[in-house]
Amino acid sequence: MSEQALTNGTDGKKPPKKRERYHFRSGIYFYKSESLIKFEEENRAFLMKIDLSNLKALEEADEQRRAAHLKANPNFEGENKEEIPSDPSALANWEDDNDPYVKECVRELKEFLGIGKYRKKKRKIS
Amino acid sequence: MTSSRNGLDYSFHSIGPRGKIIKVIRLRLHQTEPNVIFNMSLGDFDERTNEINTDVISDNGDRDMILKTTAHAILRFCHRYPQSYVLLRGNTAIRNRLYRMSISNRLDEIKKRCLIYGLMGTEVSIFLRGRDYDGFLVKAIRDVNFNKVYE
Repeated sequence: MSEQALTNGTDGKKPPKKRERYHFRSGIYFYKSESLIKFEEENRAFLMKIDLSNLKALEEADEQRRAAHLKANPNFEGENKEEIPSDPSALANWEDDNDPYVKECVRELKEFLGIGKYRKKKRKIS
Repeated sequence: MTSSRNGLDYSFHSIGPRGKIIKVIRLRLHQTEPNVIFNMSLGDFDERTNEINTDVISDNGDRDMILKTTAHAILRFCHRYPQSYVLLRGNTAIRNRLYRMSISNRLDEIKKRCLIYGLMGTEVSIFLRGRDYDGFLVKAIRDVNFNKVYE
């Protein structure tokens, strides 16, 4: 073992770079893997070769089409209507979501649907 | 599903015959000019190495649920970053085809909230059913009420 290795305990090799951690609110953290780095680089290269000059025009044409459609169909039950899931049990999957926004939505929906602790109390008949 | 504080990373569980697998969706900024584009990566969390692997085939029998949850995550991201496009692209041709089929199946629903374009060769065009694409760009529609509900 070299003198340098004895001093830094790395057998003469450079100490590994500190890897960046990515954290979730649940406490899990992860590192980037070789496959993830490769995938992101490939996608960057893929995007570089795409001619995005007409994207703005496509977007504007889409918006105009939508506006015309909404004008022609004022009762269109599309994106501006509130949608409530037909199955209240679907909300159960959201329980462990720590996102305050989603928590608030779940609370509102439960209240609206009258389930869980928001169940309507029965009237006492005297 | 849980997310990071900045809304760029999402995790959820895939539950099936191969057990409980933690899936991770990662969105990272790729470019800001001329358009703001984030790349989306979907991978499996390896508990031994704490790494995200994008080239594994989980084969856990819940493919549709994974795609649906991924769509939820994208909608949440679009809601939070409405000016941004998300680049969707599989790391294999098969995965790309799978994405295309999923988008085609729910195109009407997607179009209520998002703009979606197909990428082929060097061109970007409006997404059409039955056409092959190398990748996809998704963006929230301006002024859309996301209704606090992601189906």
